[in-house]
Parts: sequence; C-alpha cells; structure tokens
Amino acid sequence: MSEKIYAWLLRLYPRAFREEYGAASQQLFRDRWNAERGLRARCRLGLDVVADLALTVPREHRRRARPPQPAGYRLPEEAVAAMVTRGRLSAYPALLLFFAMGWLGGAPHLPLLAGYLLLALAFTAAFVRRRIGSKRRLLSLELILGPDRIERRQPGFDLTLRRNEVARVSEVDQGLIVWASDRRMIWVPSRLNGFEEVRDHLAAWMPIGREDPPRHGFRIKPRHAYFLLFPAYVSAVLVRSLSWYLPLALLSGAGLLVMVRQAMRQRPGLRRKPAPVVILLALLAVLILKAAIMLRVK
Amino acid sequence: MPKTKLDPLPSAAFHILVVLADEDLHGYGIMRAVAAQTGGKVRLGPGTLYGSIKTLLEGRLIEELGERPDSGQGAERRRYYRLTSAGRKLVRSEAERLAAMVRLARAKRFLRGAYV
Repeated sequence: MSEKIYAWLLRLYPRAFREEYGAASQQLFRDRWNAERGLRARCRLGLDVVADLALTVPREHRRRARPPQPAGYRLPEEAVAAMVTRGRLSAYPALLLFFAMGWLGGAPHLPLLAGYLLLALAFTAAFVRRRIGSKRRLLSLELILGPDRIERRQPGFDLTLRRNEVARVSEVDQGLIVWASDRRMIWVPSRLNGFEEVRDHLAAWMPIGREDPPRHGFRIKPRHAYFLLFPAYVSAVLVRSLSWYLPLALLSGAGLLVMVRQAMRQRPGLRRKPAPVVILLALLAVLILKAAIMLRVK
Repeated sequence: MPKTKLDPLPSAAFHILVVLADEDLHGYGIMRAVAAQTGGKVRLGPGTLYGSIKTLLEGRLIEELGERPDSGQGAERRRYYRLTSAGRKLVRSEAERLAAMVRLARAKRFLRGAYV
C-alpha cells in the first residue's frame, strides 16, 4: 500500500478530522513505510492500516454526528430556581423588631421610618445580587465521577478528591457531603440529575453516615449576625430613652465587632492599612457615643 | 450515567499517556514508544493514534507544543505533545485501578508466578 493510496483512503474520514490530522497521519504512514521494509513488514503495515481504518472511520463519523454530551452531573434549572428561593434571610423581621424598639424608645418617627426604608432597600438590593450570584454558581456546578475520584467543576471552586483522600461521606438534608481528611469537602445536592447513581457510587467506596442536622434547623454564621444587628444602629442613634438606648447600642456594637472581624478575615490587607469600610464603621461608633452623651446630659 | 469519553480510560489513551510521561513526543515517536513498551503487541494506527490524541487534547490531559524540537525531514508536519498535570494524575489513578484488579485476579488465583 503506497502513500498515494493511503492519502486517498484518508478521504474516508470526516473533513474536520482530515483538516486537523490528515497531514500528521500521512506523515506517520510515511515514517512507518520508510522504517518497515521487506515484504513481511509491508504486509503487516497494510493490514494494520486497513484494520485501523475499519475501526476509526466509523468512530470519527459518530463523534462528529453526536451532539455534545454533558460530561458530568449537573443541577437542572428548575432545581436551581427552587434552591435559591428557599434560602431567605430573616433580615426583614429583624428590621421590624429594631424599628419597633426605636418607636417605643421615642425616636422621631419620620427619620426612623426613612432610615428603615433606606435599609430595606439596601437589603433587597443585596439579596437580589446574592440570589443572582447563587443561581449562577449553582448552574455552573458540575460533578464528575471516576472509578476512584470525585471532581467538582465550578469556576473558582474546582476540586478533585481521590478515593483514598475521602475520610467520610455524610448524608444531610440537602444531599451528601464528601469530606476529605483535611476538611475539604464536595457537596452532592439531592436535586442533582442522577443523584441516586452518585449515591450508589459513593456507597461502594464506604458506608454513608448520617450527619446531625444543626440544632435550630439552620446555622447562624457571624456574617448573618452582622446583617441582623446592623439595623440597630438607626434606632441607637435616633432613640431618646436611655433604657432603650443601652440594649440597642450593645446589639449594634456586637454587630460592628462581627463586621470588622469578617472584613479582616476576608481582606487580610486591612490589618496593615485601614480601608474605607473600617473608617466608616469607626465614624458610626463615634456617632453612637455622641448620642449616648447627649442622652446623659438630658 | 453521564460519562466522559475517558471514563473508563481506553487502552490506547492509557498507552499514549504513559509514553508521554517520560518525554515530549510526536505521533510517530508515540507509536514507536508504545510498540516498544508493549513488546510490539500494540501498534497504534494513524486513526487510532490521532483519534485518541484528539480526545486527550479535549480532556486537557495532554497539550500540543508550539515549538518543533526536531528539525529533520517532515518536521513541519510533526506535532509534538506533552503530558499535563491532569494527565499525570489520571495515569496514576488508572494504574492504581489496574493494580487493584491484578491483586484481585491474584487473590482469585487467576494469575500465578512472578511475571505480573
């Protein structure tokens, strides 16, 4: 089989494959043709090429005809929509609570109302932004399962855990959590397409345990506390009664502390040079102190 | 079950990844190295070789080199490939999987002697 015949046979492949690898394939054939001399070697080369064509020509045509398959397990859009609406923060009740405390403490009604309307708008904008971000993150989540690995593909959160790194697999209300011994983890949402298959696959690795749900049904994290305590500032600044002022000032001070700690953890540079957020918080603290002094004078 | 084209890893792809672990090679070099490491039992044809290479490139398990280390005859047509870190990890996990299967076969007494 000469090179010309092989060049003609290459036409059996799809155009895309020919354009990409046609020249390289011809070069490979030429190299073998030059290296494998003698009747026996040439016959073997001819048989190899015919067998290779018989196997790979249909495969390349199938590859071209096949629509791109999802490479792993993903969350369907309807599941993502349900998941992002479920996680509502209880900031609005907190807003109402502090509004009521300000009202009872004799704060002027108009500034109090205006302050809370502004805060409610700010919270709503933050929730909408967060919701859009969560939706994007959940839609981009893709889990790949291999014989001895589980892989999370998510922009900025890519993680691969090999089977020998997995310390335990826990069942929680929202699905499964695959824990590595160094506390890295991959969440397998129960709404995932093919969740049962993933579960069976992981169960073959090790028995799946049950993780205790949090005591109060949800976990309060420091960043939630700052959101909840933040509205107390408005009441603390505006309230006239000292007995109402003290608990409000304490609550808002706690919120301030959590907020600064959170900001420092997220942006270590804050430790060296104060960023605008820290300066703003300090100004707020001064405002509260001033209000306290005025109340004492009264 | 949704699977990637490389799960399980086809034999030809595994051989290609293994030979690229040592050095960057072009198509013919890969073919010769695979034939050498299998005692001539596996001779990859052009279609099998470049079909597998295409799949491995799509999976980012190997990468094509921009420069041509060889300047000999046909150098402009030769394309060199290099194993990526993801490819190296996959070879390791596949080798462990195969080793586990060999251990199992030994335990079941399908294999005897020290030749494996």
